[in-house]
Amino acid sequence: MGVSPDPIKSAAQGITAASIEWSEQKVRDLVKQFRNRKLAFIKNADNIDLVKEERKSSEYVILKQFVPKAYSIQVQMGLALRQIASDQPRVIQLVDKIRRKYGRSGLHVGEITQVGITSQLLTHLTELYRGPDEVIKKLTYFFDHAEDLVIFVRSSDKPNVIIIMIVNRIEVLDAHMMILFGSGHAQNVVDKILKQVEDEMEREYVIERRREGVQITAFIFTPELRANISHWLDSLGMSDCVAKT
Amino acid sequence: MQIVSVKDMPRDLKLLLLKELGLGLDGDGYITKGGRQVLDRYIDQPVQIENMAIFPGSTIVLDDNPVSIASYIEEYGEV
Repeated sequence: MGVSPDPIKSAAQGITAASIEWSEQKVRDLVKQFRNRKLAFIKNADNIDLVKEERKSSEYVILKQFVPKAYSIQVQMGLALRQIASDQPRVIQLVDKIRRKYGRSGLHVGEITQVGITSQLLTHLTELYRGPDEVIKKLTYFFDHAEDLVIFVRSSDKPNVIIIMIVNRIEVLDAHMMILFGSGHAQNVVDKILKQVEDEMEREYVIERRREGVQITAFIFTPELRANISHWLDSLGMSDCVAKT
Repeated sequence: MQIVSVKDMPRDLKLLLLKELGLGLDGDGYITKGGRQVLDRYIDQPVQIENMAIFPGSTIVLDDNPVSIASYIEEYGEV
């Protein structure tokens, strides 16, 4: 066909990225293959490589069993954002595309997947609900209301303001849970919020914290979910995560 | 499916490629079909020649970005 692909890259990824000696005849040869649906043209391999890698990742393979189709791309893009986090210009471009296509709420789904919340939530849901259909239903509800259910706490946030938001939403929304995320200095604000929730609330909310590097994720559940949660917290040796036991 | 990068394809050959595929180019560098700008079906944006991805299946012209590529794979299967 007149193409001299990098044999190693081609074998691994089916991508011809370099070493093509371009000519009019070669373009016509490639177009023939294109018409036979054996070939596609792309600017460069970076984006398709990124997408294919994320789709093959163990995290996505697990997530896709439960993520509804309407949110599949946002979740994949969240994993992609995590993968390219060190390449800020590329992150900015991708965030712009996600926002244009799916709006602010769709970007929020991507961002909560990027920081690992979606996978943590799925673990909780599979423990709380026996049937896969129920897990899918709850996960869909969560995505539908992600902007309300997940608060990205900033270092400048006032704990009292966030607590009011938590109490109002956790009691009204059907999920009966809230998720806080804080990174860097915002971790201290999250800690203050959780301490106040534990010490000052009449309701005995169940809190599970997870620290990873410079970030903290906290799941807050209503007491009504407590019975469902306590069995697995105990089995994981995490009973100290339960507030006011 | 083989994926061919056109990153280093000379511009005149990119124009030939577009012509062979029944496509054109307007004065602003956007790909056209029948004289009208082609929109990326997934993000509803016109596609620039310098950022094009062209997949088989009625010659699907997309902007080369992860959202559009992942959407194509969701619709047509792995490439």
